[in-house]
Amino acid sequence: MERKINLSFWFFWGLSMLVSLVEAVTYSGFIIKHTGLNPLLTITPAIFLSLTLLVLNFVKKNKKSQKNDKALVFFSVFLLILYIVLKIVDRLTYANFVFSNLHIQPNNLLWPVLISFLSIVFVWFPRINFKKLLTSRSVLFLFVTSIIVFNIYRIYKMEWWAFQFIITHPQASYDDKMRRAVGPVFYNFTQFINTNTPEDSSILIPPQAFPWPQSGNEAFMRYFIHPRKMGNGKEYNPQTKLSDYDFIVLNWGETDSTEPPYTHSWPKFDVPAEGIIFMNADGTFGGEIKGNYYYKDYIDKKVWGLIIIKH
Amino acid sequence: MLLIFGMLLVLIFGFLLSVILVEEMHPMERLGISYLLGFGIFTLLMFCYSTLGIKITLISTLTALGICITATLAFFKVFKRKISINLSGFIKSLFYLSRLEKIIVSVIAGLVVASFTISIYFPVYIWDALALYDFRAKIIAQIGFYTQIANNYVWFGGYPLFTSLSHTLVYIFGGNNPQFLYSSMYVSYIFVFYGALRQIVNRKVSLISTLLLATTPVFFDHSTFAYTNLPYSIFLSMGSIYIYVWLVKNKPFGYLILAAVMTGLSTWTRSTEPFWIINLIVLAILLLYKIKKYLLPLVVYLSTFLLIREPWNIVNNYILTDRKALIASNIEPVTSSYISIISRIPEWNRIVEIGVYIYKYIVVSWYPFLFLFLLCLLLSVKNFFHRYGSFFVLIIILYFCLLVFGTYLFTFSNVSWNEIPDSARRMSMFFMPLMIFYAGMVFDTFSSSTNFKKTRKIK
Repeated sequence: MERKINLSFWFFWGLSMLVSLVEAVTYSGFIIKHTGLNPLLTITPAIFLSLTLLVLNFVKKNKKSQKNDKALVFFSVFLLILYIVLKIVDRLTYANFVFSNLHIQPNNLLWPVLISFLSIVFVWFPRINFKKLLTSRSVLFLFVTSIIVFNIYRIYKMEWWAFQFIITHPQASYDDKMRRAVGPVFYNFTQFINTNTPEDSSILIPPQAFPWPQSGNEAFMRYFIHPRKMGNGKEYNPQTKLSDYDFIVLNWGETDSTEPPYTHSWPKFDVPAEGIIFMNADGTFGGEIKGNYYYKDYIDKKVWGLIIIKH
Repeated sequence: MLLIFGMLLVLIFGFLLSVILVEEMHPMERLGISYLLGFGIFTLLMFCYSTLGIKITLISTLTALGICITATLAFFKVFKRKISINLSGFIKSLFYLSRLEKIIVSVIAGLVVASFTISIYFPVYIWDALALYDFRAKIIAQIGFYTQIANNYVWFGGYPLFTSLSHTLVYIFGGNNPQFLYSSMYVSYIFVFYGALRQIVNRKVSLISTLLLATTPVFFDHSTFAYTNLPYSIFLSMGSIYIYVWLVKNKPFGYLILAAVMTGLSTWTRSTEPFWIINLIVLAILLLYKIKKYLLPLVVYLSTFLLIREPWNIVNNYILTDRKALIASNIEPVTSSYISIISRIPEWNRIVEIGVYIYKYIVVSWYPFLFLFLLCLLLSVKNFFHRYGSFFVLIIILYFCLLVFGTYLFTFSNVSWNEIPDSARRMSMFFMPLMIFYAGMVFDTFSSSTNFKKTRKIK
């Protein structure tokens, strides 16, 4: 009787494995479309039979491992590693990268993984010596292992942005890397300032608050535009004599969020100017106009640039 | 090539210094401590001689390194030290690792490679590094001085110069990205932690505990960018660990001096936090227990520690002109305000607020190591007062008490004390390796080793 159950299990297990692997290399619904067979009709008997065998194996006295038991474990672990690796590759590159290059649907590999581990349950579970397992040492070891595995997963979640960028931009320049790290708008703006102002100039920058957390932070800005001198203005007035400075940044802000009562766009006061140099979104020169800066002409306009103060 | 040469010279200096202090050491621990000592002590020396007027240039740095290496070799004769590196024995032992141990070593190696990949690929980009540490490094590399020019810049002082001068060394030797230093510190930490724990527990347990440390997300993350929190945590935690190892394994004085150097170097990395005081309290407790035995160690420890800590304090508090008058005028009101805080009735509302803050932003960040630590405490409760590992628990408890008390005091002088919880979390990173170290000692009681099992009193 047990032999018949065993054979039936392996039949349905094999069939469900075949069905799920086919759908992993084609697409979900392939089997039912071309054969009319619902894959669940193969998996459900396999699950039921494995539970039956689990009960029978618990009762069995002789629980020695067979040669094919180890092969089963190896196969299951291989499928699991393949699934994890393909998912990571998809995450590090772009969605469908694996399917478009290898014609494998990583998500559909999950079913073969689960089915293969199903067979391990009734083979290996009854062999576990629960008396030995529930010792302080084993509990500690299992706890520590789970912490390590969980931590590795947390490291992966934390750092995947870096690996994704490294893999997709192996030859990136210093500028590209800095754009990724500190934000393209801000970085382009600092390079624009460096290109369009002399090194000994003084520049008035916005107050240190959102939406200018970087360009309003004097200590942070100086890393990029040193040795130029800087000072913070207030939102609605310069706070200082404009004659002490050569330029004022025209700055919409580098973040979408703002910190009340601050709002986008700066300076929010008129400036007697020689002219205004504008910056394109990619940091290149975006044109120049002569004359004073009037705030009313720039309300709600997403512009960046430099106002050349009239002395 | 010049960069590699320069880094090697610093490593050699650290190696020689470590041999003078401790003649016998595990090869991995020796390598790790060489890096930490080399950069720690040499950057301090750079600060000292540049303050005295010697410009930091490539020539002066190479000369200084040459003098340091020569001086340490001279000390070899005085202390009758010999260099013995059993590299072949160490490499052979790698082949005799069990399957589990090989997996652990492979995972650690993978993490190290990942850390170096990120830190080498990306330039310095993290906020405080751009605003202060790396900016200072570039200015010092350009001008050659710090003390003489610090008052010319906004937000240039405040933090000691370990990280900035380490970066300066890289720039002077022709490098353009010093971020690999932090991955190197991460590797060094793995080595010294393993080596220190290995003196108490067996190899398998040491490796598992070291793997726990290496996979701590915050430590891995900090190994990829230029913040002071990683080196600070390394120096501070190793200071306490070395004091403990010196005590329980009856190690020579060199270990105690090493502990003092490590703790001193933590103040050379970050000087605002007062956690350095805990090791002194530990020695003071031992002094009360046996005054004759522990008086000389306390004096030696204190002298060594102050030798490392005071140069920065003297310059920062007395020589940088703007601060001189400010500090002098503030000493009396600050002291009297602390006395009045301590002497008055505790404000319970404030204490509850601090408790909630510490739990929400600091303690929660320690999960799951806190669970592991508490589980280990529970498992060793039967013979708690007879195990010398329990003394290590006392060290952790003292640190925690200081964290709470220090935060309480801080709330009186700073109204925005709770506005940067991330900073508080980073400041208390060092608790996790201490918990892991203790957990490693408890693991060992369940393995075949009997080191920890012995109920042994501190003599």
